[in-house]
Amino acid sequence: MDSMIQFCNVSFTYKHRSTPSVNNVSLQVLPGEILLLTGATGCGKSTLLKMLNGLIPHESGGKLAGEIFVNGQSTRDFAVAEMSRTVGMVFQNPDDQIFSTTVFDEVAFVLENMGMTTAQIEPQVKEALQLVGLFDKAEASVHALSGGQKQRLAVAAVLAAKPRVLALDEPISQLDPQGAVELLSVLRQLNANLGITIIIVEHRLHEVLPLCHKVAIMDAGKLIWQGKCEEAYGRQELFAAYGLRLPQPVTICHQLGVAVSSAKVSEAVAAIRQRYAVPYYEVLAAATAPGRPEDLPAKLPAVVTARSLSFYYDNPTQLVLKEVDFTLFPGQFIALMGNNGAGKSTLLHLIGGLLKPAAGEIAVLGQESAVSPAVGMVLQNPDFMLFNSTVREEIGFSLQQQRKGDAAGWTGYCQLLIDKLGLSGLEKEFPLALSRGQRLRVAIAAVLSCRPPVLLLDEPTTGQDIGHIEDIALLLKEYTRQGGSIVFCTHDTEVAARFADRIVVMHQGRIVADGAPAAIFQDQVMLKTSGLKPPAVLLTAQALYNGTALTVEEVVGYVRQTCLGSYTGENPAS
Amino acid sequence: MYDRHVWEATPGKTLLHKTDVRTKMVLLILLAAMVLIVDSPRSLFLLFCLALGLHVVARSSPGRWRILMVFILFGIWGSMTSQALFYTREPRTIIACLLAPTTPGIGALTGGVYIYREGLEYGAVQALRSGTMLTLGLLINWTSDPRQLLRSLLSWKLPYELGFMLITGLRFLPVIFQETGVVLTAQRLRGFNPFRALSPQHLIQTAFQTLFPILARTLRRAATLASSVESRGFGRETPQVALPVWSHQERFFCHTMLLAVCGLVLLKIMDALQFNGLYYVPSCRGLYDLMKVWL
Amino acid sequence: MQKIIMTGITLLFICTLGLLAAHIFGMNNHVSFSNKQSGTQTGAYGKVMETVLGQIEVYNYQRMGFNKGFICFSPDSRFLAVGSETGEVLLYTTKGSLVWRKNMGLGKLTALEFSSDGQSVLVGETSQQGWLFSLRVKDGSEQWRQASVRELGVNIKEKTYPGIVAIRTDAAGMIYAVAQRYIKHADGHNEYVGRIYKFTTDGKRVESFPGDHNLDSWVSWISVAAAGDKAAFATANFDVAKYKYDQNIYCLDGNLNTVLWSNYIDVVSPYQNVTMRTSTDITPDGRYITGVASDGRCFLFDSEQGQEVWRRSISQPQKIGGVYINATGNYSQLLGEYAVFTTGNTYNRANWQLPTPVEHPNSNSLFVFDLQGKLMNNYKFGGMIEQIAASNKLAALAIGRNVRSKDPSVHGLYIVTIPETQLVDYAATSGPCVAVAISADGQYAAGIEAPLQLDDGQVIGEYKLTLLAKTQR
Repeated sequence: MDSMIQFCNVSFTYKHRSTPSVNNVSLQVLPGEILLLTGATGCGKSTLLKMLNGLIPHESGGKLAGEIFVNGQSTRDFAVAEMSRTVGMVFQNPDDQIFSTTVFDEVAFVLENMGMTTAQIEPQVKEALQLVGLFDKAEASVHALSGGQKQRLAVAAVLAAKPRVLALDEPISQLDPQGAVELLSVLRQLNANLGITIIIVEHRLHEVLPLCHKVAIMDAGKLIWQGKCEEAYGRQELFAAYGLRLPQPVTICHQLGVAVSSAKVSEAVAAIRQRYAVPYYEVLAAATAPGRPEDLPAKLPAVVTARSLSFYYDNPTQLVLKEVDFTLFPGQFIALMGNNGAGKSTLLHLIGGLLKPAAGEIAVLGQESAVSPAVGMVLQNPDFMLFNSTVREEIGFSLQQQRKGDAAGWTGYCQLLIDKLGLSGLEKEFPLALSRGQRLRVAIAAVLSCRPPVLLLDEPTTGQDIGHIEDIALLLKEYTRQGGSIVFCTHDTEVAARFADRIVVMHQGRIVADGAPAAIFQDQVMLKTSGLKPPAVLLTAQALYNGTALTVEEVVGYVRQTCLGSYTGENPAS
Repeated sequence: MYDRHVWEATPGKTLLHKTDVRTKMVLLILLAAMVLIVDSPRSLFLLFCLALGLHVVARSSPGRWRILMVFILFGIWGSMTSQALFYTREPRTIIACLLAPTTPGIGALTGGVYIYREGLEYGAVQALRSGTMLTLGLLINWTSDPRQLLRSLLSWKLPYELGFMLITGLRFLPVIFQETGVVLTAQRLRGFNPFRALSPQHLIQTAFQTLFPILARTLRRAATLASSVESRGFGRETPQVALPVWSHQERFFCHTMLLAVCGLVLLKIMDALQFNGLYYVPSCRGLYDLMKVWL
Repeated sequence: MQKIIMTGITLLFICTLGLLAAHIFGMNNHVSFSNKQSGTQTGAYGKVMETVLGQIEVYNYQRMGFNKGFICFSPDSRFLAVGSETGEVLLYTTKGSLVWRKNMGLGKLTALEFSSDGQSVLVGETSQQGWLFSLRVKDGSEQWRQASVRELGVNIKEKTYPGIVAIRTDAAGMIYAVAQRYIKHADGHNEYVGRIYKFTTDGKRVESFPGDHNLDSWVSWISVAAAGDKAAFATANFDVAKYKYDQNIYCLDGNLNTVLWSNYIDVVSPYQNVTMRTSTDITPDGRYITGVASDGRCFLFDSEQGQEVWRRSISQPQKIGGVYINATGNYSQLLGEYAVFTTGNTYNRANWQLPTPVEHPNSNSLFVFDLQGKLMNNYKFGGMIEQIAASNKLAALAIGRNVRSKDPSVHGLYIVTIPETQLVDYAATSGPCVAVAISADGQYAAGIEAPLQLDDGQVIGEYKLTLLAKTQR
């Protein structure tokens, strides 16, 4: 079959750079395939994607070698505008792409550019909206849409031109789980019903992989590996080497030496059972795991206390927080979860002293909450926290303001943070010029440098590689062991399950669950209402042995222990 | 103030939302010309009220009214203050003395600092001019789809780059406001005290520190939008796209307005000629009388 | 908190716009006072209304002339017409309510009078065409207008415009208007162009004096006998030069055709000429004519032949400390059996702006003589008598700046009896009172106050109209 997309020995070097961002890549995608293009930050995947519709090289400049064919046409021979009829490109942040005021207008934009009349445009717009499930929102303002809806709108905006190919650059990285599910569902349907070829660049592999037919991994501009999804599941070590995150069931299977060709829990369980005789009930004696630190007893006084806390922004009848009771003890690592609009950020802002409650009270270290050195906060987009000229100045900034440390606010602890967060050698760099992961780590170091008793992080893992997420999480864990308290907003149930001592789930301004991760993730009803999915590892443990596990290691350890000698497969070490 | 949604255009069903962007642009340009031509405080005030009235017609939200009021108040009081202190034309009447000329040192240096009545009046009138233009500009921004605005500008042969720059600016300005708020929040959280040292060097440094993250974010965003828009077929090589039809009624209205402004210009010239003793038409005395009061 | 802020902003916005609108559209403050709060000294008159007329340029003590305005009562004492410096004509009832106001546009108001039947307001302006308007009292609409430019000419480049500077009426309703155009040449000499017109009540011009050429002297005043059979005017030329109309007083017949007589008044040392700016006045029966010269001499003439019946010096130049000082002779009025004259501020003969060692004892005074020339009474006011209006044995005087003492406490509207010069009442004003009128029956008086900038920069007073009514006792 002729390929829909073909990269033939493609290399590209941006203007003013000396090393190529894409280095001799050859790749084929058949019609109707869904390809996942992944790799560590800066590996060149987004650059490769932009070649599909001619943005590279027509708009970017630079040097392009090799050929790219899309639907038999070389992208060199057609302008970006013409390629837009074949390739639809969707970018990461929907707010950066949408610039009309209504949904209809945004979708009609591409058709207008094609010279269509109003009479021709309308039915096509409606069709595109139907495909993404936004038909009833045709006349709505774009500002009234949720993040997921906006991203679907972005898809509809390119879909209207009936492209053969959809190219999406990290489309779910900014979305909450619900939004991600909706978008991925739309993509699946587009592929299944219309046969649209889809290329997705993404980090959140565990969510996207089940959708894809093929996977390609890039590193430093080169294509390291490409193959079918099923084959990818067998290459756990490859993914791990590049800091990529496979679905947990796949990782479990790999660690148990079981081959699996799907990320589905049921298939993983079935595959494990083929190799191991796992009892259907939990053998408590064997319940192991790298020991979880026990919850710190509430002997120490709470560092944050909120009682009947309520808050609204403009309209007193639209409460964003409704009588929330919340306590944070020293040394606790809390994952604050819930869908967008649940009130998580608002609660953090109240603890941080940026907002004043409309009702109720909130105290930090016994004092009414106010902006103070006692509470450090890392905002959702850490870029806004970087305003010094060098990394060193940035990290020492708060201490300098408090007139601590040396003249630049530098202390030994600052140096330690640099080392632990992998920022060594970057001290003199301009923070805003660093990579995304580095910027986040600089922001965290900058807040941690003055060792605030309470640290708040507002969804800092969005768009991060798993490797970086783990580094950050481990650092924060250590911080809690030293007595610091952390509240960490996240959508990522797997990360929360792995690292948090306590999970607080919010929904529509209220705390609907507050407890140990194991207990929280077993409450299916609550999870569904709150738009959360339990981590796959928990579902696997439940399905496998009706047990509870929050990490891959726990499941693997359990199976190995209970099923000693029952392994029927090859020695995974050989 | 930092809520971007207040700044961004939202769709609506009012007359102003339905009006073609080109008509609104013409209205803005012509009314701006009118406020520049007209000197009479009465007329300026009425034009200003007309601009405010258009906001009522457009059903601007309370948040938008607040922004409008804040800007206008700053404009009026700022202009009045600066003119009250620095008015140099004659006649000028002192209504208060802030610094007597007999004050040692600075009194002699400055010659005394006074508040002039004519300065206050002049400042208020000037503020009406800028206030009218600001009000209309915001009106267009809030009732017009940026995309339609861009198309309209291009249909008027504005260079592509310029048009897109304008639209991108309009599109992102509210976001920049919002992000400025976030940056200031972040600085507060880090215990930042901008007025710790009042040296100009420190203050300039502070300003840059606030600017850096916003600029960086803005540049990245601009690049994405450009890519997105071009990926959807918008670009120099694209043949002239189907533009929304500019209705005859609106065109007629615009032409009428243009004629009215041209007429106003002629009247102003006539008035200037009379005032400077160059030319006077006796039979137009009634017109001159009207101009004295309203022009 | 947000709500409070929003409310605060909204209130400030509305207040700011409201103040701006009030200032721009000149909303007047109508303030009524009862007798008790009248602000007059004796309470014989009470303030009916006090209203700001607008914003005008503020003058100081150094300014020679002073901004003013025009006011007069209708013959039936029901209306008050006001011509302001801001270019507006306003008509009020004597109860204080505004009937109409009209902006006169391009022209500068220079004369105001009611028609003798009280149905029209006659407005004179100085402008490119020098119009005389007749406006209906009922609604301010224009009945007719007549221009003076055809006779007097105009130079729009030099901005030397013709204007109607005085308007009088006779018992039959005929209207007499003095038109003047003043040209200051580059070499410093002054040129005067003038004409006197006579119109019917419906604006038809019937006569002019001179008939076929212009007056070449300064003429800015005229008086007309009630019967309309005589009209008298005086000249006030600054330069010592040869003029065709070089006599000091002229008496014309009612048709303005014939000069019945003209008189030359001798010059008195140290002056080089005789100027009579605001002369003459004529008795209603036309028997006598008065005049006052700026050198301080006042005269009574017999109107038939022009004989001087008597002359008096109400102010004489005095040499003190090496400088001549004098008080200007200002106004002359014939009120029944009495002749009333006023003097102005003391001035230095060499240069009026130079200081004087003392205040002239006869400055800023009112003198009342009988027709035989006997001084009945005099009254010294603390400030300049800017204007005098008389009727029914009362005189209303507008007292303004005293450029020597600079005492602002003297400013106000004074009402005195004639001939006793007893103070009936006095309404103080902060700024100088610059114009005054009194109704024919003496029931109402009105004055215009102007703002004044003191030497320390402080501004006192505002451009305001005050209407007084006699209180019922």
